[in-house]
Amino acid sequence: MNVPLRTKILKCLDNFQWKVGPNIFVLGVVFCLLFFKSMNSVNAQVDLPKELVRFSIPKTLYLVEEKIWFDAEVNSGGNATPSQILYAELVDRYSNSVTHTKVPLEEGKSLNYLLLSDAIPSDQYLLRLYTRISPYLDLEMGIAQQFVTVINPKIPPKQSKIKSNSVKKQDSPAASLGQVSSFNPRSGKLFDLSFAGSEQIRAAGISISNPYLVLEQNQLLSSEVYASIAKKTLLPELFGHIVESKVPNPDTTLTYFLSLHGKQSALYTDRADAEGQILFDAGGLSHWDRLIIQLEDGAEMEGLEIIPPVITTKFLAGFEFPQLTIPESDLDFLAQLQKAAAVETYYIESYDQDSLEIVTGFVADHIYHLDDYTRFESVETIVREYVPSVFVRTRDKRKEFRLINEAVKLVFETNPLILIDAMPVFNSDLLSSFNPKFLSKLEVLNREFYLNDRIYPGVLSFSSYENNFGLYPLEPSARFFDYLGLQPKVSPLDKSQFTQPTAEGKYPDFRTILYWGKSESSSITAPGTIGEFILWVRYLDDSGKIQVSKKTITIAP
Amino acid sequence: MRRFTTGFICFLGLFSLQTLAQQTSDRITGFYPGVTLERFMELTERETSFNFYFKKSDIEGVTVNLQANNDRLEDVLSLIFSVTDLKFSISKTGEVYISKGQKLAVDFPESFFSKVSENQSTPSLGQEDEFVRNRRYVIGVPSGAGNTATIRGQVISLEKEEPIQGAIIYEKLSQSQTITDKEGRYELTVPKGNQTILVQNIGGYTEQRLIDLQGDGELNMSIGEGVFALSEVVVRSGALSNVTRPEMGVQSLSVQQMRKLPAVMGEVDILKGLLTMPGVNTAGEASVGFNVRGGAADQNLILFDQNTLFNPSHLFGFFSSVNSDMVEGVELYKAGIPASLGGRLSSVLQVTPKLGRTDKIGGSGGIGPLTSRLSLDGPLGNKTTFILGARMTYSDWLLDFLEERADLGASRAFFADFNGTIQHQLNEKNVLRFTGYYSEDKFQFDPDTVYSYSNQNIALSWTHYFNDQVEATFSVGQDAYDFQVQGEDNPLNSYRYNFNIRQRFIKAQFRQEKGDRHIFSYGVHANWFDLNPGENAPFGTESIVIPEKLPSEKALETSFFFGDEFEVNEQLTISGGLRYNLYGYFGPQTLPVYADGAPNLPENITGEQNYNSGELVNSYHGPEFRLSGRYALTNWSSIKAGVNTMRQNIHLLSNSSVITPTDSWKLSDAFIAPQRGIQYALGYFQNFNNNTIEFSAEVYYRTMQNLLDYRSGASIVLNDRIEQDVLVTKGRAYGLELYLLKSSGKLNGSIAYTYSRSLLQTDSSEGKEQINRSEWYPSNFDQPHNANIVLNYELSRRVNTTLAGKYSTGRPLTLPVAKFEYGGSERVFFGDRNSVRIPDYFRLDFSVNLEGSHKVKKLAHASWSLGVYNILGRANPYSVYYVPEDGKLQGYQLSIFAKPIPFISYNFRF
Repeated sequence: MNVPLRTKILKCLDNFQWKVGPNIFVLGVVFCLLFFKSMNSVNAQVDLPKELVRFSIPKTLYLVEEKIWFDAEVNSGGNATPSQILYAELVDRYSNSVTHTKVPLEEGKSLNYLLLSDAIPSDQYLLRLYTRISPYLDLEMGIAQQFVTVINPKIPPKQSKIKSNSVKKQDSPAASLGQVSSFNPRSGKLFDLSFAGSEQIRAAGISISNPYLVLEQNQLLSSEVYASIAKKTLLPELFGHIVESKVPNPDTTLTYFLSLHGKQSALYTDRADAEGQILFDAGGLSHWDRLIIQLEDGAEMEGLEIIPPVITTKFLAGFEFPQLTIPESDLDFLAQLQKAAAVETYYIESYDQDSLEIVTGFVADHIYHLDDYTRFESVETIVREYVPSVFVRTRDKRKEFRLINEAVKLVFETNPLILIDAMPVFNSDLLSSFNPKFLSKLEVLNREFYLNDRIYPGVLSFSSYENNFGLYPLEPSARFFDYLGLQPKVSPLDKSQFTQPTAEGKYPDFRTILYWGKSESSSITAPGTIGEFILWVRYLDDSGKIQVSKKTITIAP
Repeated sequence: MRRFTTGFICFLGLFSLQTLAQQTSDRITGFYPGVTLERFMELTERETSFNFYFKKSDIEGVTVNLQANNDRLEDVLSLIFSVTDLKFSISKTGEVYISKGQKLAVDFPESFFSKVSENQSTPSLGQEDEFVRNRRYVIGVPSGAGNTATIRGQVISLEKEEPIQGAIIYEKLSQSQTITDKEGRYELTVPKGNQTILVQNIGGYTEQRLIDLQGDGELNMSIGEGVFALSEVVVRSGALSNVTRPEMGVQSLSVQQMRKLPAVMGEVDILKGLLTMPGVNTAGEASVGFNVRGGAADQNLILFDQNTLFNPSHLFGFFSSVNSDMVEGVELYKAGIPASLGGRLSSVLQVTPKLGRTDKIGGSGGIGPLTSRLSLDGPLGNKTTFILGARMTYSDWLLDFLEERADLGASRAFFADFNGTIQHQLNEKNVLRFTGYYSEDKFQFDPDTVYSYSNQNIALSWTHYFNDQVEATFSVGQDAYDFQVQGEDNPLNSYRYNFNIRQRFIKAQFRQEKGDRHIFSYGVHANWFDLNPGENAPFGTESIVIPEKLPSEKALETSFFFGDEFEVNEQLTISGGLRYNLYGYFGPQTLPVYADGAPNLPENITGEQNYNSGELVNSYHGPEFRLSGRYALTNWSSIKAGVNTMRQNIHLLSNSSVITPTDSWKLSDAFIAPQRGIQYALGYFQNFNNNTIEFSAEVYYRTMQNLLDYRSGASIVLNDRIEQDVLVTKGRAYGLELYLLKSSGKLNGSIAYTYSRSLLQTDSSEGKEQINRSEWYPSNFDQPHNANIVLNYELSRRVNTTLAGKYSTGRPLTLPVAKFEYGGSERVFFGDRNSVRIPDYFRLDFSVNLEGSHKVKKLAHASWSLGVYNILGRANPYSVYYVPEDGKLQGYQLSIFAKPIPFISYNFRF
């Protein structure tokens, strides 16, 4: 139980060969995850420093298909946290997790976004950010949260039929930290923003005023929100995302294969522990959105489930979400928001995403680009015709593959590890008759292959053109999940794009965010979005409490 | 830069005047000849109330090329963007947002406040791809209350894309179930969480969907109606046609099939390929020509595209005259000959030439022990392709393999052929094709006599597609054949003998589809024959040979034809046709007049008649009927029956059983009438094992009139009164053909067995002589039992072995039975014609084909072919001949190849 974590990690790291190349499937970063299994649940005794999560978002009023940009920081004992993954989750008033994203943390920081799908109904939601372990180490420090309003034009809120808005906003009294040169700038005119006491300021912004949320930009303390958090295995994500799954009635001798698929593919293996928990560490692999789990030899996995990586909490008895009430008179305002959302999302937002793919794999002894050879109608023929280090044998009227072990110049006696786009294939007979017209490459490893605690008699690894297994039929027992992988790093997001309209084309200046930063003085062009904006400043008051000051700015036509 | 053109937009709006007046400003009118999209938008903004919004990078390079006339902006933009990835959204206030990939949502729905917010239902986020059965669909978003949620959706047929009514939808654990309604819709309430939804369609199989049900949601499913819905079905068109095509007695052979046969002497050969088929036989080893269903070798029409080849072989028949590199495939019609083809009694061999490829210039070739060949093909510009091929022999060593007794030590042989096709696509509806072929053979058995012959063919054809149903091909061309013998034994007797024939043709053939059930084929075909029957001239200045020339022959043959392939119902298809043949034989000619009713013998000549140039000497005409039908018993078996009549106006004068270079052709004239024949055939066709094994059994019965046989001791060369030596003969032939073909698999091949008889009888009207006392006697090529086996074993795709065997009954022979002295010299008395047979024929060949590596990118694809011809070394007799030795007639047996002959060849293509 108390074995130091770092030692365990080092012990469990496997030596692995790495290989560079674009679009290759990735054969897993293999970690022995056994040490996790000794840490059953949240344990106050665990010798891990607490993590403090903080974040800011530029505005609180969103339409679906917009991105909630967040700028987050996670500290651990005064330093950047070693955790590599940050979760941003949207929770509804019934404690249901509506959507979430996993983003990479770099030196404890992350500037990324949560995309709002059009399946999310209009309502107030709690946006909360945390790492895989931070809520369990300290609920208060480990979860940062605030309300956001989401409007879905197709799914109105449950109480929407009121005639006028009852929410009345007032500037907060201590609102002198942010200063603007004009509180009524005309659209298209410049006005200046400056800050006083910048050392106190945590975050600030000017964004469209949210008429449906009284305490907009006020963040909540976990102690004000949660009654409890469901206990879960403590899984520090020090290398990347860990996929957790569970199976009832586990057989701990059997190996489970997890393959991740998307732009990149990767294979991981693990065995279930006595409780049926199976863990796969996907490392820093991003660019994947599907996963397949199989049991060795294609056996059935009755009751297998994926455990979502998000936390499960129970709200305090008195804690209530503000109601979302939208008066019919707001239709024009909503119409303006709709256009602004379209313009901002498509024309204005400018950012790059890390397209670097993690490059891993095994170093094959032989590589065959199938287009370089005559195309044959079955894998068996391909292997027989031009892969001399692999034989096709018939055993009990079924085709099997046998690889030459080039290290000892002998032939292996059982099927190799067969992969298509990193997905293990157990039915060699079906594969041998499969038409490989959509497969592009075959890599052969003619020696013993070590994957965790198993040794495989070589590897026969196919890659398809479009990472779709060349349309090879999945084993009926295989389980396929749409599971979003790590969202790539955004690098960099230039926050100055909010203050000035860009000129990359011809489109209206329908910005709803005019400033988002900490305390930088700026000259801002008033947008074409007419109406009330709010200058908010989140700061640390003299007593060390986080406060938010707000001032209304009205953009005139 | 991307350019695209959009069409002319014509839009007629039926709006009231008031509406029109209101909307006029929002309509687009103008001519935009290739302007940039940005410019188009500027112009539109100026003339209408629209405002365009876009990213510069999205619209770069997009141009507009159209004329609009009071058109809606939506229609115009849809046209402009139809070939791009651009989308547009027009807001209620007239703002046009242009985006790439996804359409922007720019209007907030006014119905937002009137929507019922209860029963929120969201569609499933998963897609229907190949992983539908394994994917875990997350349905709905979590909503607080209740442990159950409702799934709604539609079940659609994967094949028909129509809703399926009555499909049962149920959940595995709770067993809650429902049935789809008329629109295929269902609604099922099941516990939230991970569930398995099963769909059972009546007659289909059970489909499953794994769901993670979080809230109310939608799950549409496409399911297969049939059990085979998702498995791949491979249609083998060639094999299916064996059962389904209405004609019978048709043998197709592709170049791929030919390549699997032993490449005897290093060449893939179309005639050798045909000889493995049932009903096709040859009289002897290395023989020119072939016999089909008991017909003579001249009764086969050999068409290379549109051209007739009069001599289909090179080098005594070792090679066929068509270079197989230039061939796409061959079809031999033994019966069921289409009405569009005719002119011979037994069969039509249609050789389809290869056309040049369109992508690049490439070629193929081969180097063998006797011949080398090279062909080049490819595009010439965008619309023209060409293919050119040449073949040549360069070694005489083969002749040394001939049986020593043949004493051919001084023999020399040479041949070459060239052919080419140029095809030009004038436009979508017109294609022109020019084809040319030239061959030359030269050989000698002793140093002073040189035999040579040559085929020359050219044709120009134009195919025009009138519409989807009607197409026509018009062709014109000339086929020529000549041979000559040059004797230089001594300068005084040196001579040059030659024969030639020219056939000029014109043909128009239409093909028309009428509805789904009829395919008509009709047209006209005319041949003008110009034949020089023989000329002997002195050769060299010292020669005292007296020149001799037979008068030339001219004739016009015209045929009109109409055929219909009629699909009566799914089981029954009938193919029928009529071909009417008109034949005229023209002067100048001077012909003897024989006494009425008397045989055409010199003593019966009563006078002479002169015909001027172009004057009609004699004419013949008559119909040819073609009828065949196919009745499908099952999908895999059918019976077919057919009857066809044929006419032939051109005859090969030959007193051997095969075509020899000195054989000459003869036109029907005042004394020799066209050959006529009728054939009845019945067949059973069955495919097995998913069409990989084809079986056919056919029986046929033929009768023939006006065949030519010869009086004993007849001379053919330079015989200007050939009617005095030929005997009008009747023929009949019948047989049974069995054929089993396995076309795929590691072991493939064919077995063909034919029992056939070919009998002749001198016509009772013939007064000159009655052969064998007017009894039926076997023809020269009557070989009752004939079996062929071709076994191919594919060791790998690069190593292929073939064993081919051939057995046939020995051909008939007329033997000398006695000798006697007459007029002071010894004479031989022959027994009945063709009353005995030479020994049976049996031969096995073996070959191995070695293909080069499977790498696609290499200079040339090479392959080796090696093997042994007549691996048993069996001395198969070609003929039996008698030589007087010591006062006795000593019989000898002549074998062409009495030893195993190894061969090797190197082939390449690039």
